[in-house]
Amino acid sequence: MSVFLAKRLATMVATLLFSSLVVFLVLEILPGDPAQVLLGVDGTPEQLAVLREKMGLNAPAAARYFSWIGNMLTGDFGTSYAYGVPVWSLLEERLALTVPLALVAMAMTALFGLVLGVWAAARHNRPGDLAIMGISQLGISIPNFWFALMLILLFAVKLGWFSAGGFPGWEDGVGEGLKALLLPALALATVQAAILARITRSSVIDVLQEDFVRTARAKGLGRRAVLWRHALRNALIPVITVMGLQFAELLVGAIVVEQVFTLPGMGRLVFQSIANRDLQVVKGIVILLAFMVVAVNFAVDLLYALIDPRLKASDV
Amino acid sequence: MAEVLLSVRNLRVDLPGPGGPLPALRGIDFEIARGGTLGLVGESGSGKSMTALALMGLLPEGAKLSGSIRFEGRELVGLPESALCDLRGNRIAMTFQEPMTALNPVQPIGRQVAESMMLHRGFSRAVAEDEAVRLLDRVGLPDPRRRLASYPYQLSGGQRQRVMIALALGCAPALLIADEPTTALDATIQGQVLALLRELVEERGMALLLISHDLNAVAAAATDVAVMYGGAIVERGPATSVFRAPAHPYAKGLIAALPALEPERLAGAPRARLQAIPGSVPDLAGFGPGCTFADRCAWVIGACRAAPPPLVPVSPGHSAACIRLGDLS
Repeated sequence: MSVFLAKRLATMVATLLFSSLVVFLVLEILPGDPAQVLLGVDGTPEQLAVLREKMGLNAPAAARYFSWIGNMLTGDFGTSYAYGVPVWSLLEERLALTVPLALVAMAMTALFGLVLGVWAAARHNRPGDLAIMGISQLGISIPNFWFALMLILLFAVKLGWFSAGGFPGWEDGVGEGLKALLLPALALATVQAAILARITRSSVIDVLQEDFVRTARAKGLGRRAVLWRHALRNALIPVITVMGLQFAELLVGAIVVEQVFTLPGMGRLVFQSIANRDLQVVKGIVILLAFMVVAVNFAVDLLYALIDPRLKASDV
Repeated sequence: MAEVLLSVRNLRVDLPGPGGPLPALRGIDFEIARGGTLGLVGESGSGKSMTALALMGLLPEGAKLSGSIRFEGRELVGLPESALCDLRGNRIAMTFQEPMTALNPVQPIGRQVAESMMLHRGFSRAVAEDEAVRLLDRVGLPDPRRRLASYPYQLSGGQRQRVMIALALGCAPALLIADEPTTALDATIQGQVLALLRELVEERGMALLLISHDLNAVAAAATDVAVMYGGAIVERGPATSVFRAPAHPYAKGLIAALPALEPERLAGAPRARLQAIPGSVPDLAGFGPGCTFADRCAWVIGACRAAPPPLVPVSPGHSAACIRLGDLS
């Protein structure tokens, strides 16, 4: 088990290092001088040179890369060019919205996707199954920004149950904050839940054809008991892989949906920072997103090992 | 003769096919006495496993079952699912061919063996696992207490087949159906598993339906034999009689196709040519209304294709389904 863990951790670190290099290089070759943007069009060449020196833009690329990595390891993500505050303080604020948003959306995805998928599989080719498949096909086809607008129209404008956008923060209590995240999370989760329902369904149907399911039936277990006690755990293996990938999708999707609901999350920040050539912030966000995706994949690997004893063994 | 445990009459199974129902079992009859062993032999596709699944009430979805299965005096055809669940794993148990895939890969074997006892006997997990240790010990799994926590992938093929057998024995069934118990195993292990099955039949008074395409396995363990071809029983009788004097052309061919270890051949005499039955089993849609073996039979005449031949006695307890028996001998 410890070898399995060590291998996975090493992969995780390598992935992060590689993505940091890619981020750095891409922003390096991107046109646009942050000092010029900061100074505006009126700045003199002398002022520009001074500012460039002050921002550390004149050092060689390799030196800047390593000092950036080194500083991040100590928790220093640099200073925002545009806001003049530490990048981390900006990120922290936005993470408090985007991470809960993605988590709520993931919880909804898992709940609807798994329940509907298993329910449909248990009724393979009967009306309930066909209905779920039809609905999920619809769910997959809906673009989430359009669905977000429809949700606002129905629940905020027509029914007035939720506000059309904005975020009150967590100071007024967790309930208020979650309420503001509910519609955006629903908009995000719909497509992913539909995808997950289909994958869960086909995975459960596949497993129900397996020999060991027949063995379980031959013991005298009813169909339902076989599904819950024997099939489900085996069926979860591909499902969990997909859920790990979906978390990344949700983080990316959040960037769009935050715009529709005017939520001050990572999505808004990344848009503004790119527009402002606020490269320190952009780099910080991308690395953070990469970290979250890699961390989720790590968690998925751990779950695999818990579900399937064979994986642990083959890796040790 | 001992009391009849299982009596199957005119058992038919039709599977849904693209051009209408396909007959997988064409009205078969056989009996098993309490404590007796019937070997069911035939090539793959002959309906052996379909017979077992019909007895278990585990036919594939859409299959149509008719005829009669009387087990311990009770009619099983038409029994509701809940009543069948009470019987399965309890009075009738079954082991499956490929023990690697027939055991749940993500569950320790102790739980898998204990499960039927918890279900039918109401045992607690602790009691059922103690019982599982006894059973695993009985089927010859070394160090059974420690093995409870093992997963199927950690066992050898022979050990897995032993676990399958222990799993089936949990509730002391009156009938054990063993579907190809030796097919996936090495030759040396095959003999051990067959010997184990024979011992268990003896000591528990349990009846055994031994399904195998391996005639040697059946000859080693069965008291009676039924030979299947194309969803029909073409010959049945006491094992000694059927193996010594097969009557049906298919059974003759099957037994002649067995490579025998004859002493003179070992001594360096020229090898006799292995005999094979020409052709192969057609799929279910390929059978006409008459004898299912007609297309591969060297003695076929027009009348063979007209109607299914009935089983006619050839010696005491031994009968064959062929209208040309008189011309063959």
